[in-house]
Amino acid sequence: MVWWKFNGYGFFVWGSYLTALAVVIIENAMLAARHRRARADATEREAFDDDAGRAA
Amino acid sequence: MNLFKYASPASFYPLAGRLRPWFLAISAILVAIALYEGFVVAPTDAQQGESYRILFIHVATASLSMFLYLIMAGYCAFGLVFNTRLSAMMAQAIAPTGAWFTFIALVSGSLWGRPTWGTYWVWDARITSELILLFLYLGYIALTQAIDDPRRADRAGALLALVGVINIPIIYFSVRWWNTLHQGASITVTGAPKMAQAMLMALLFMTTACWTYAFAVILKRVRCIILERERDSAWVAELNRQGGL
Amino acid sequence: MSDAWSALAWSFNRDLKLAARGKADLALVLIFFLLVTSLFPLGVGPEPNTLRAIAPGVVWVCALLAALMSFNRLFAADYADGTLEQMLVSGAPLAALAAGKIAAHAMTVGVPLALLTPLIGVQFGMSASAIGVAIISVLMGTPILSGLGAIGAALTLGLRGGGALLALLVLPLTVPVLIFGAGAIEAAETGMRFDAQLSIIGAGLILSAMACPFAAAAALRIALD
Repeated sequence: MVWWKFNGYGFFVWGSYLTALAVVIIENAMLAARHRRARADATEREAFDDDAGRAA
Repeated sequence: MNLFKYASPASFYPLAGRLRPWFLAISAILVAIALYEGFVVAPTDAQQGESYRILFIHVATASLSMFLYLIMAGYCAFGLVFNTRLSAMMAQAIAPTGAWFTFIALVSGSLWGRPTWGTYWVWDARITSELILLFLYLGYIALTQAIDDPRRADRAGALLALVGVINIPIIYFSVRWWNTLHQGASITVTGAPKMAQAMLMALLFMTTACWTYAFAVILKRVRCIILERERDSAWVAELNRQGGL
Repeated sequence: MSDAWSALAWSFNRDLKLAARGKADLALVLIFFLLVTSLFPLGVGPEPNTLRAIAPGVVWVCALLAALMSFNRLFAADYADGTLEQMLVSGAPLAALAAGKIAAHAMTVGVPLALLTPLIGVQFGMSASAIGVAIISVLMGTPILSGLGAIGAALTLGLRGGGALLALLVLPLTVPVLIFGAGAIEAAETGMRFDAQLSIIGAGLILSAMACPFAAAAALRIALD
């Protein structure tokens, strides 16, 4: 298997595309965590309001 | 169909959630086609060997980084003029993705430069302008994050983005002038290879793939922003009860 | 219209007076300028040819950084004691008031910086004509910096993150001024024509004089509302 060496340019070609892949993974991981946190905040607050509503 | 129905965060939130998987799927398919065209079909270039294949991702991400800034500025202008909250949220959703694309463009450009020109970094007009574009993105993100009041953050960021967008042609022109003056150290960037059919196809598919990916990511981020800002509102509670958050 | 001009004049005179009372701040900016320019030979080595080659860039980058130090003070004091709110509420054209402040800043910071450049020129072995062009380019360019700095200072009014955030926002926008300012000096140094660069700076000066006060005023309204 020599194709993945890209005639000696392997480091540069792989580097570019793997960087792009890494960014895709990082960006989506960060967003998934952010959405999870946002959903947790939103639902927890809603539960809090329910208690306040009942108390009032 | 009333387009302005989706101008409210409450109705845009579920819409964005429904659209996102489609954009992701299309993006994945387009990437596959692009990589096939670019790596299997396209021949080896006479001058640049295999390294030119980097250009598919480099050109795609570079052009996206610039267009995303324009779109971001457009949303900012719209938000300032019509006072729509969702416009500002979209602008803030675009910025980090734009910055990431600029980063990939700089890295891939640097890696393309090394075998082509012998050095990892060249202060040519386009790369230098791209670097400044990264700073413009980071400045917008930093400013909007530094302001606690969402309304002030939206409007201050919008003003900054508009000042930036007006300055971009000025900056590009001055950097190009600066670069041609210092011709001694420079290498012409127009050393890109003549594009064979397969290379053009790969480039087109990769660019479109990046666009659809960008849509998918931005839709996700705007959903996060909407939830963060609107968490106390009734529609969020209602949607949560329906299990649609 | 006369309302705008009188507002400008009032704000200009007021800021001049305030600057006269706070001379220590100005002195610090100028000392910073001299200090930072001195660091370059220490870092790069005292070889005269090297220093002469980097001199135009050093002069301009350090002038830029020194001016950056002073942008916070454009609105900070007035913001702190409520004068800025009063200006906003007064009904006087806010852009005119901002323009007056920018002009005063250019006079009290830009002019002294320009007058110090001969010192730097001598330290770096610049030719006489290059020093002359240096003075002119800094004189013409620093008002543009003041305008851009005003926009940045207005946007970041009262924010934490202070100076670094302001720098991140303003410095990319000042790149064209830096390029043409240093370019003019370098052209003079190598005996070539420099009027193109100075003309472009002049055009930038007119453009920023017209646009920056309005942008700064808009930013102030956003910050104070």
